[in-house]
Amino acid sequence: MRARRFEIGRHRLHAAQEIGEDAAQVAPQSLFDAGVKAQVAWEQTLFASKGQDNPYVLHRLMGKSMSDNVTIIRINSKMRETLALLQGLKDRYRNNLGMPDTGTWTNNTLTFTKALRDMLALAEAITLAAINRNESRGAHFKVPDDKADRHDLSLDERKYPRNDEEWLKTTLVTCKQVPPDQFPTPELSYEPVDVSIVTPVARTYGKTTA
Amino acid sequence: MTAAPHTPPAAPRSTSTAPIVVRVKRQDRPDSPAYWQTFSIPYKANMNMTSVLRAIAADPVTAEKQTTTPINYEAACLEEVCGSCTVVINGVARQACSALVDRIRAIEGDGPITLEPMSKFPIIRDLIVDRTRMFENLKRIKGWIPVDGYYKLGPGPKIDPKQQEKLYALSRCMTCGCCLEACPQFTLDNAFVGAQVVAQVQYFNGNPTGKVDADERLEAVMGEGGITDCGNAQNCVKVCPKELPLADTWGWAGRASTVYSIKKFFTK
Ligand code: SF4
Repeated sequence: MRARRFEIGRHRLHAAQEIGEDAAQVAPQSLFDAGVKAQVAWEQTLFASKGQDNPYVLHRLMGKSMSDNVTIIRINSKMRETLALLQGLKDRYRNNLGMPDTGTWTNNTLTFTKALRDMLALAEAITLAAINRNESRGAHFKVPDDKADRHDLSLDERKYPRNDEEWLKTTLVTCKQVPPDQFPTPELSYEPVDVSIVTPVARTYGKTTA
Repeated sequence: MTAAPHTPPAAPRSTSTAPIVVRVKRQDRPDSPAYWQTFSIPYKANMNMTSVLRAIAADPVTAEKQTTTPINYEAACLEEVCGSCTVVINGVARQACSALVDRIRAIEGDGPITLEPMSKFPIIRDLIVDRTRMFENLKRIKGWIPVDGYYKLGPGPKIDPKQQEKLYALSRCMTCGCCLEACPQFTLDNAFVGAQVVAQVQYFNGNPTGKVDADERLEAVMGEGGITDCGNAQNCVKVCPKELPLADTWGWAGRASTVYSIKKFFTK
């Protein structure tokens, strides 16, 4: 089993090296030029935005909601609140951003604002994927909406059980490429987990009863 | 259970909830003049200086109600192992991430906390400095172990646990630059190597595999600006946040370079 895994790893590495080398050689210069042009244009859009919303404030709101609702204990009604909040933040980012620094020398705020666009897109992808997966697995502890307030029950009684039948699969979030000043639309799909080598068993940490 | 030897005693914490006032030395460009700004932000418990800077960025208005730009600073690990957030806080170079407001105020009161960029490195903007010199020095001394990984080498040489412990202490260096900021011999425009890189010569020369380059490493820190320029002020020992045994480093460097010089004299 070890040997086989090692082989797979090595092949992937070689494939990546080949693709990497070839990609750099065969990619037309126009591809890089177009990328730079899009980034420069986006920076100008950001610098010209005259709204009220400080990017660091938007970031803080995003972080607070994600930490509150999309960490270990996950409840769909709560995560839908986060999803709605993220939509609002994306709107504010697009329509009401105010750049507190428009300098062109070592501008931390610019770098941060650009990264924030990706953070918002990722936050949305994570939340969406989490809402869709109605089971508990690993660190994902999902509580059905109707048991959200049933504090009389133990955590084990409240949670969705692990559901290999439906959810032994990897969530993929795919986005079509959009210009940097727009937000991509995440689409969910699933990929089966390769269990041909190891048969999954219940993870009980030594407990003999469920 | 006794605490680990490097665990510092619990430092006192201030319970004051007065607004946090900071004075920041800023500079827009490497060649433009520096200026000071004061900020006052609402108190929150458990803030470090990095979160203070982030709070200012979210509302970049000075204490005099003047709108300004967010302060540019560096930070990465937020747990005092990367060294990137090193700034001069109330006159002492240290990491902004491990500089806790409540603890600073317990010792120095609620007065303004001053933040300045390090003065021994060229300024890029605000609190960001260019620390290339330290990395160039690491390259000069070959701050690595030469291992040819193209074929199976088998297990490496054994290291005595005592030696391991010594090396571990030296390996903790995070290239923050505090020792150089505090050093009277190290200036913006001289060639002095400083404690940081000499400690790394000791570290790599102490490794049984690293030893093969020992002479070259010593050679790189001898001569002009080399170890003999150390004025023995011992400031590096006092400020190093990772508590490297730098006093021992300088003693070792003197001995090792003497031995190396004699050897060279007889073999050349
Ligand atoms: S020796 Fe200490 S003070 Fe000097 S760079 Fe390394 S960690 Fe920083």
